[in-house]
Amino acid sequence: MTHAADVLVIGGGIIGLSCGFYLTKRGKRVCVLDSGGFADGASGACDDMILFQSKKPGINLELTFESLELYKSLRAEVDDNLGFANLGGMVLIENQQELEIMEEFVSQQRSYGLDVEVIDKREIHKKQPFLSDHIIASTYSKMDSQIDPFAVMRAFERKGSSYGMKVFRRNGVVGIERIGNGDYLVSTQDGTVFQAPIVVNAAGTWAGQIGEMVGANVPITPKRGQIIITERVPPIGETNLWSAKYLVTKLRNDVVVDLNEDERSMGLSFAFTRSGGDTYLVGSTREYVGFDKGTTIGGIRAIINQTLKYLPRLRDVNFIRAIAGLRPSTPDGRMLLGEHAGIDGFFTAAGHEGDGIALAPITGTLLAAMVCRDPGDHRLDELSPNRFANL
Amino acid sequence: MMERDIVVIGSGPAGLCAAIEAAEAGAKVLLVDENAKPGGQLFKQIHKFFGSREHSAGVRGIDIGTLLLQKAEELDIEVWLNTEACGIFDQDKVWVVRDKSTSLTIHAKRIILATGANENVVNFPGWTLPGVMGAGAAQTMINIHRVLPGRKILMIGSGNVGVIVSYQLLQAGAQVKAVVEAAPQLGGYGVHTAKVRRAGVPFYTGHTVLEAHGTDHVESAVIVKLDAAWKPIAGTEFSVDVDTICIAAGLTPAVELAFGAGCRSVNSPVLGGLVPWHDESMRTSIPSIYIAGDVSGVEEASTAMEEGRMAGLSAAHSLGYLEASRYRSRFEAINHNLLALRSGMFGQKRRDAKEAIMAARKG
Repeated sequence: MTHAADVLVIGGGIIGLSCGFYLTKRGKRVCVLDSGGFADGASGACDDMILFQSKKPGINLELTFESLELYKSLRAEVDDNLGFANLGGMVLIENQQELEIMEEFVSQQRSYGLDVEVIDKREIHKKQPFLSDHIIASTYSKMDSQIDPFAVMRAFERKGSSYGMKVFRRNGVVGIERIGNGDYLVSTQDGTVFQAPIVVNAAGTWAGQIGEMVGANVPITPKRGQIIITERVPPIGETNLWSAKYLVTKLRNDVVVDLNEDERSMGLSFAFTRSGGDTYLVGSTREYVGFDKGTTIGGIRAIINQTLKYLPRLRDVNFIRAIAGLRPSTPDGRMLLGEHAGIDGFFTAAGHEGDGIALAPITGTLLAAMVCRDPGDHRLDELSPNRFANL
Repeated sequence: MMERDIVVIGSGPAGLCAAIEAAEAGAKVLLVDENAKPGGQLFKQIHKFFGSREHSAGVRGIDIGTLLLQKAEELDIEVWLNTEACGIFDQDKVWVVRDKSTSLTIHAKRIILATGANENVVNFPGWTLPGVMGAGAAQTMINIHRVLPGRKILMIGSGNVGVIVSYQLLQAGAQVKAVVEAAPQLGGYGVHTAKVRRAGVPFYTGHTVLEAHGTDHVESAVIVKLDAAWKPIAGTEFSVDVDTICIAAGLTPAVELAFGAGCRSVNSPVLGGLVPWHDESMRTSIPSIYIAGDVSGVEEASTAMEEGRMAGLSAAHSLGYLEASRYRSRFEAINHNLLALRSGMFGQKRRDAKEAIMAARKG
């Protein structure tokens, strides 16, 4: 059996559903194909942040602003808050070296219009009375926000389906071929074939395997993130928290950061975010272990120990669950978004690593504009998958 | 790393029997439980059990529990209470936290999960008010802690748990104002149901609770009649003056450890939903992990005990502790008991469901 469509989106996570949703709104007949169930991939095993402070000044930060606006209109369109919250965020600074780097980083972010500042111990104590005394300073931005990934995906799927989008789950893509008229034939596990002139590879961590089917180089590596979830507790402080350590390692590979064994071997850094269910999501590791999605005792223990270092008060709080997801990481920390040179009609929208939730609506919107051949946006050249074509 | 032949998680009827059976075969067993006392739900079962003589029919659950604990002590089984099992890693490592303070990893050549089940809830406006609780929780309060949860009770659900707990609440001195059952017919065994009915408690089949009222505690509940499609019929609402609403709406297997470990799941609507796939020997899709009792599909305590014996026997056998002939004869005996428990009007349905789980493709 063959399904004909205008666009086939491969991958039904938050990025694929966003692409499908915005393409459908542009009048395209879209089929979204997924090998697994709802939220089986990274979109179902992550935190819920629309985080500005972690973004390098540049395209990722700019797109986060635009994505936040799109989330506002999406909430209005589906008439649902989608778990949106705006608690603000603090990045915790532990020594002079981190302070200098973060001060420079904050001033760059401010020049891009981000409302962020460095605050002193007294201010910190007001916002976070339980924080360990060894924190010497912190950044603070009231813009950092949250949205429930599951609610967003359900909204994209429901609203998109009401506009005519079709979603097929538990039926993986097994092959892609191109026929005489330029159309793609995408075959799936159960034998169903889908035909369309445009294919969008939004398979996240698995996008490399889809790319291979058409000879496109999509260098995405799974990076495992383990997260633990606490029992329901009253708010520990006003804002969500991160450690500067991770940002500093990410921003300045010329600087040697003082890391302990866990931080080095598991890429451990501190992320502490309050969920809509009054629990906290505490992370996280960043490990290269192939496609192994398991949690480990070592990882969970390291997260617990690190948490107690920042928030000793949590000693008496139980954690109720641990999850792990495979974040799609790229060599340069930026997503792949665009059409592959020499493979007309084949687009990739993947490789968001930890920014998938924040950047989902803008990714779908920009992708839809590209597919509809809107006038080009040169800012996006640096996201083109062709930057990896000859690697 | 500390090593044991078999770590049994959960010391209810299934876990206790598994530990005893394995220890009798010669295996070095560690039994862990998160509670301060062993026995799981057995020690609140003050009613007499059904079944055949081999299943201690006519004996009260509380007495069966005492016998099993004596047996475990005679066999010198190592028991860790106040010990939470947090996870299973690499198929054979059990991570536990003792006394909320000491974190330990144990290498277990075999693991038997006897984690039981959790009570289902029914959601209605007011269901989070203090005074709304699981029927099992109410039973723990009266039979273990000797505390009455309230004076005027509404029971939701007429299955065995609903009627047994209703009767015990009456015995404990509470008033049971009504038993409400959404299905068109009653769900519990006649003998338990009749005792409650004889005490004058009204039963409302084809009814459900619409909402609970109260400022900081349940003060009343509104009950409504349901049509054939289980939709409330407007105009049939009436209010009952209660301070406690007990929910006996079935149980869901406590499968978190099993699925966290990677055991393959099978859906069994009759036995409570998703359960780990297992074979007749109670082995899951992970060869080092066995299950027993409600976690393998919700049945009742006698079956849980037999399943525990089967899991303990098979786990010990897989470690070379029993000769083939002894294993075979014991296996047959336990299997015979299980079949007996799963026969008759109520049992056959469970037997069919159990066989469907075992027949599902091994993953």
